Amino acid sequence: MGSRIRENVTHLFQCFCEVVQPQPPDKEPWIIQKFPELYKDEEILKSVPKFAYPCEFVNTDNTVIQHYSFVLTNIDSKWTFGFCRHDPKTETALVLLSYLPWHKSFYKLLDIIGEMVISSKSGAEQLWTFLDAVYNSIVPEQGGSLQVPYNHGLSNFICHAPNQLLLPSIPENHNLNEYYSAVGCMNMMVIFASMLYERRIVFISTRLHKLSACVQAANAIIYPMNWQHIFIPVLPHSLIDYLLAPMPFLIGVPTSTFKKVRRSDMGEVVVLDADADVLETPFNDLESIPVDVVNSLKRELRNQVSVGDGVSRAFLRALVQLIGGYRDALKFHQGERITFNSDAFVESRPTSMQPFLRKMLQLQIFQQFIEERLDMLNAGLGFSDEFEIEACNYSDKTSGKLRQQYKEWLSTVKKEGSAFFKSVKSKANPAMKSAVKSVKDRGKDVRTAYKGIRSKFRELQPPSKEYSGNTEKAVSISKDRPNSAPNSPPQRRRPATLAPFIKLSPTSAVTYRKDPTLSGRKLSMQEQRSHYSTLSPGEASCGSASPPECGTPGLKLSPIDTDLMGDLHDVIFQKCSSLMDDQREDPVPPVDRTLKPVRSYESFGSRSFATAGASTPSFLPQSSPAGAAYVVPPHLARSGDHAYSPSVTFQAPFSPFTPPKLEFQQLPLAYSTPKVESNAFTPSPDDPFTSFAGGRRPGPGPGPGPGPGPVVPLSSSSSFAPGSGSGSGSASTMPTMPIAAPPARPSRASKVAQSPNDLIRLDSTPSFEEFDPLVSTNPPAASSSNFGPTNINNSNNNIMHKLKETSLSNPLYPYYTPQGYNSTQGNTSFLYPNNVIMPVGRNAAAVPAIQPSSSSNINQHSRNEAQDSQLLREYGIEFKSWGHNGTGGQTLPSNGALVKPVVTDPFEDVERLANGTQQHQLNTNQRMWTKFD
Amino acid sequence: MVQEYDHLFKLLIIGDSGVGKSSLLLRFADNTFSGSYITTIGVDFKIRTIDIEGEKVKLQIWDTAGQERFRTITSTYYRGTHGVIVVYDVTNGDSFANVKRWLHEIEQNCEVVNRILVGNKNDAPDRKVVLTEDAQRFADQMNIQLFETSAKDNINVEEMFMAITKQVLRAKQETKEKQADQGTVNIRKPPSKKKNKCCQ
Repeated sequence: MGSRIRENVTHLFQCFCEVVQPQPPDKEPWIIQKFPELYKDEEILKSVPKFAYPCEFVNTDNTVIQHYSFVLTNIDSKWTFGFCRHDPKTETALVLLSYLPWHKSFYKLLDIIGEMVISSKSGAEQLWTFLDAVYNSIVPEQGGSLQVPYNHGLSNFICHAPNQLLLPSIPENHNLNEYYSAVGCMNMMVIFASMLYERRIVFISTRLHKLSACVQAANAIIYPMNWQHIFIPVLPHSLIDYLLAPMPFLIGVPTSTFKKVRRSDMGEVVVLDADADVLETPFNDLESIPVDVVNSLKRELRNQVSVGDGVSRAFLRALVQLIGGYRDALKFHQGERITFNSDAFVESRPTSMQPFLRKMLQLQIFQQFIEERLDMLNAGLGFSDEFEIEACNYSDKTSGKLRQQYKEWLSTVKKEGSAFFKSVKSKANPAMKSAVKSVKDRGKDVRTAYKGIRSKFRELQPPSKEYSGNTEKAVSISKDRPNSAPNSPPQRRRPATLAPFIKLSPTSAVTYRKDPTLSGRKLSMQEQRSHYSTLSPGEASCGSASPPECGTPGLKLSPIDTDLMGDLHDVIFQKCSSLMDDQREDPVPPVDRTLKPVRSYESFGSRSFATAGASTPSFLPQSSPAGAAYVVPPHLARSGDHAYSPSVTFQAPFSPFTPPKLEFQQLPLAYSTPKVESNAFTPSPDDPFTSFAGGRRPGPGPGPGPGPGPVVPLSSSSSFAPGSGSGSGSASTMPTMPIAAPPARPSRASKVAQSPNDLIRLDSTPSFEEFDPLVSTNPPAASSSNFGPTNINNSNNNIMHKLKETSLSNPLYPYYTPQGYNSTQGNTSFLYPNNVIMPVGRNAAAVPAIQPSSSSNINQHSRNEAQDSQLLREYGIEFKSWGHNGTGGQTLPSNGALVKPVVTDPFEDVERLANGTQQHQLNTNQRMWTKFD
Repeated sequence: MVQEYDHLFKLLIIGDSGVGKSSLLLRFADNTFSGSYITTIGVDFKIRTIDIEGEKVKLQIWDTAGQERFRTITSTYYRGTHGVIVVYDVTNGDSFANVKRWLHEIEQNCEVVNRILVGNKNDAPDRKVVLTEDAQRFADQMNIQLFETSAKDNINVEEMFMAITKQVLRAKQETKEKQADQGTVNIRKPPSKKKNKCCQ
């Protein structure tokens, strides 16, 4: 594996040492005490004093306490971090050895220890007690935290476990802070390039903390790759000869030490003086990186604000441009391991990049990266991190043609995996969090957004030609592996079919975003999470650059729309009944037009299935062992005054079908799921999604198995629990109603059972907004009282507006709950009622609905800090938004609003959105939903 | 400063952990440099100066930790070196398989590097699983020298190190001659540097 940070760490730290400074003339530094006493790694203990006093210790300012870290590498090439504290008032250095790179926490811990050490004899016993407590504490999971009291309980040591998968950001990340403030962008880029060439690189500085921070930050910046070679952030003087190593290295050398090296013995080395920000290199590495990559990196670095993860992200994007296409080169054959085809990798990229990419193949860091990804894929592990998200964004822009395939493989393989959700879960968090954060940070310039939308349309267009082309391709794909069905059908299908939905959402998603890229990112994140195919959510951003071309979207689109729309209607109407009878056996070749309906329908089913699975696993009917615990009867689900009743919920997945105009171009995708796999909807107990759902769904009762750390987004699971519950309840209907079953929404299934005609309604529901992942709403009120129709209708546009702006979509994966979060501030975050973010164990029924009274506070409080985490959590609730809309619709009839089915042109909606007429939208919503009653 | 050697060669020793790389290095090294850092900084090296054909050659042999995690060792790893000593354990078939893969890899991407194949732990015939014939066939195929050694019993170790050193020296001289012939001596760099550097 690529990472050199150890997993499954059992102790917060491995060892604490106090090291006496060297006593001139010839006394070496030595350890005078250590904890635990049992720690016996002689090699390390021998080294620690060298690293604690790596050079002649010049403390320029006698009053400043210095912190720095060093890194040891063991025989397996895994890292151990040593955190040092030098207090000028003492003659010793305090050192903590840990497997965890949690710089801030350990520096804090060292300060506490430092105080205890200084506080004379009485402190000694206290120190050991304290160390013992910390040592034996359970290491907090990502995003979690640990508290250890000291000073007779008067104080607490709080250790926050950073999210390792978050991009390092400023100022939170100690190392990046130092690096960014010490080294200019140009030199950072050269170092970056040198690392991509795996040079021998030396950083020098007179300040140890700067030295080690810069070296470690430089490594962090090549994420998702990891430096695989010699890595010594602080080189003790006695190891000076290691600078002669012929292999690639990244070494931090105190300036005084470096002066003693005979440069001619070192050969060609890149040297960065972090004090002067001066760099020497015998190479032209930056120049040999493809120009456009460098240029966009430059641009991003120049434009970025110095706070946040902008710096990391700029480099990440550069890497995505370079290697994000690795997925296009994955080769998979049924029954074999996924492999990486390096030629395909190079050839899939623009010719201008190919020479560099060929070199890239010869990098250990790249090889290890690929190995790691392959291992995860082959193990059925899902992964979702900032890199994949960015890669999705990017490949959307460049439309990698094999992406679809990749998704399918992934889902196929994933099927086998079961344990992976845990890891995915925790990994997904950070990415979402930051994305949410950045999304939130942006304003809402409707105009820009509108441009984005328009360009979106333009993309949606390229139509009929592509249509047939895609179909063919899809067909051939399916021929390749015709009978894989028993293995993995639903999952495989999911990726293929979901795409259109997702594509849809960005359009509206962009609406309130100032920066379309962001919504794109968020979206693709959603896709990523669920391993859906990534159809160009990110394109909004490119599109916005050239809006003029898309002048009148509606006009351009209309030809296609009419055509396909008609098709769909016919097809569905005609085929519905026959489908129920024999759709599984239908042997018609994929291209057969008469079949199309069937397929489309199926894929619809699977789409919704997929959607559900994607954002809330709990929707999967098959999934729910746990769901059975609280089945909600369909009738209940449909009752209008249940604000978030299942019936509302289930509508969401279907809404995607409804704006067929937008989708049609994508339809071919649906064909890629061969007929033979129509047993896709057979309950599959080993479906990872399923198991996830089953395991995680917090029932009305205490959630099942709430882990210590990460927490299920209660809001999402609980809100949908009824749906899934009813789903499992109606699961028995599935076999007989194959069509109905596919929609993962159980409630749907049951509803269909009641009134088969509903099927038809599906496609006439023009819900554009429903699909807007951004349209979110309050957490579902299990107790429906607060969120009645009145509330919705009367809720000032303000609320609606706000909701749409801030809410996010999707989330297969739950988030962690910051321990420090104070859940009592209902007002500050009316969008995110406290319970939403509470850990799993919370009773679902306790989730409060929106407090109308708090609506006035929205503006004041919407930017509250707390919302970050809340948003995050909220992110898990995309369906809520649909549910919300649905609620509006449901309630409308009772208000005497439109009762007839109305076919709404999605484009109209878009126009309205663009104009910011919220009320319109609301109405549209309501109109759309009326037909469901 | 007077140079105490005519040539400085930097060699790499690669192979799975447990094949006896460290033991070989210990056997080979001068006693002047003791202490190992492979478990603390993940890299170690040993030095020895030897006379070959009247020339004083200083050898540095470098070892890094955790190589077995690499399915392939890429050419950047060998880039700055003059030669590679590839070690497997004759009692361990897996270690031989790894070595084969790595050598193929070098062959493909880095053909100029000097290398030598070493089967270590050749001191317990009953436990030997990698047959000499197989290893030799492979070595011939890759056009490299094979040595079966025992660091424990100090068998063939010296010969092996001498062989690789000669090979490197010869390669260096050939390069020099070739450059002289072509009149393309790179005057920017002293000729003693990196003549045999692979893949650059």
